[in-house]
Amino acid sequence: MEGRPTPEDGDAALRDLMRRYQEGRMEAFEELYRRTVPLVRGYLVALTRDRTLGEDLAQETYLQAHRSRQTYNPEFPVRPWLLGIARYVRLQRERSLRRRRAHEVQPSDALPDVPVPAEMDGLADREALHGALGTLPADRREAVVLHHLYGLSFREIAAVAGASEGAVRVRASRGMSELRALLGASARG
Amino acid sequence: MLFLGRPLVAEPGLPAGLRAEMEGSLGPVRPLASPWRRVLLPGIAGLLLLAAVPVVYGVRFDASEVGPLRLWGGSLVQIAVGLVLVARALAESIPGRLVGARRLVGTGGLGLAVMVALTGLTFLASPTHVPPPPYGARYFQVCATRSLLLGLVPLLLGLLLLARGLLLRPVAVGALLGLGAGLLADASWRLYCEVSDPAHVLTAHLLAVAGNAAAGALAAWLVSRWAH
Repeated sequence: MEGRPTPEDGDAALRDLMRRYQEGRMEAFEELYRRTVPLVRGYLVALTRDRTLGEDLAQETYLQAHRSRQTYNPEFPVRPWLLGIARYVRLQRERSLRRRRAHEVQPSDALPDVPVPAEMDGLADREALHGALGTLPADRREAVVLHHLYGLSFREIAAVAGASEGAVRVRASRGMSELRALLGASARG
Repeated sequence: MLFLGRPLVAEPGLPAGLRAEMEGSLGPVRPLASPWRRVLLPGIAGLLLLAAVPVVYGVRFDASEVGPLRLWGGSLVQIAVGLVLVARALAESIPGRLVGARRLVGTGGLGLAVMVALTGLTFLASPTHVPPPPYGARYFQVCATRSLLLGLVPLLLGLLLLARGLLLRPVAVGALLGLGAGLLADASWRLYCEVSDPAHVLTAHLLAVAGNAAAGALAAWLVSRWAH
């Protein structure tokens, strides 16, 4: 797919930025933020189905990454580490919301600013893609978005999600099948 | 590539709030060592227990029947497997390094399988039983409580290491850490306890290991809440 980042895309540069950030260089963090915030924000918006919340959580993710920057090992890729923190921040927020009984305020089913897999581009209009992606279960949406939009490998997604590589592969495949079915049905309707 | 109308490109500028939060605390940090290196600390604790139990309590009277390979070699194998569990738990505290739940359960199952296998091998070499009542309950109580208390030492060390990471699955990870710590402790306690009957080992000793796992799960859950 043209223009789609590969798992290794820019990873050497990101590792170098992380190494310099761990040495205490602000400019390295700024560059790291600049390069990775679209991924982190897109992931969180897709998972929360709430643009404002997703953006808030993205900021929290970078704060948490700052507090936990010693956990990054330069031998490993940066994106799964950062997405692992984003996942942690999201789960913590969900737990907090549950504790405060804020679950009464449900996010809308509409999916603002959610990335759309390139395979789906052209199959339906943007609104339909939007709605269909939003109806996927969270684990499938996570696999579809991370693999088909951001180009993370199944191994990397498995390490983020705490699942086996095979399970993630199945989630992505079923997610894409569901999307095709939904979009096909809406096109026929 | 588009993001529903927005180009997926790098964005300029760090938000002012985030910058302000960071500027006061931006200093050099040393990356954590790999879990296999960090596990040395609880590993040393396990070896110290292995040395201390025979000195403090003595070695079981049937040591010659069991044989050095089954007795000492078996305990060293159990320590090694316990450390594998601890290392897996430490790796789980690093973002982006998680494994599937089945693999996590399988790692814990490996530890228990080694304990069961060693129990069987020891019983085959020297079938000793708990003395008749009223001593049975006393044997059960001593083995369960002492082994549980011994396991708290590597468990606490492991928790200190775990607290430096992020716990996405605190209960599961804490249980795995506690299971590993329990195996380390039982590896030393089996040098002293002369009862090889599986009915004793797989109740009293296993209860201590399970107690360490439960303590680890609870402690890791508390650590995650405190960190949040």
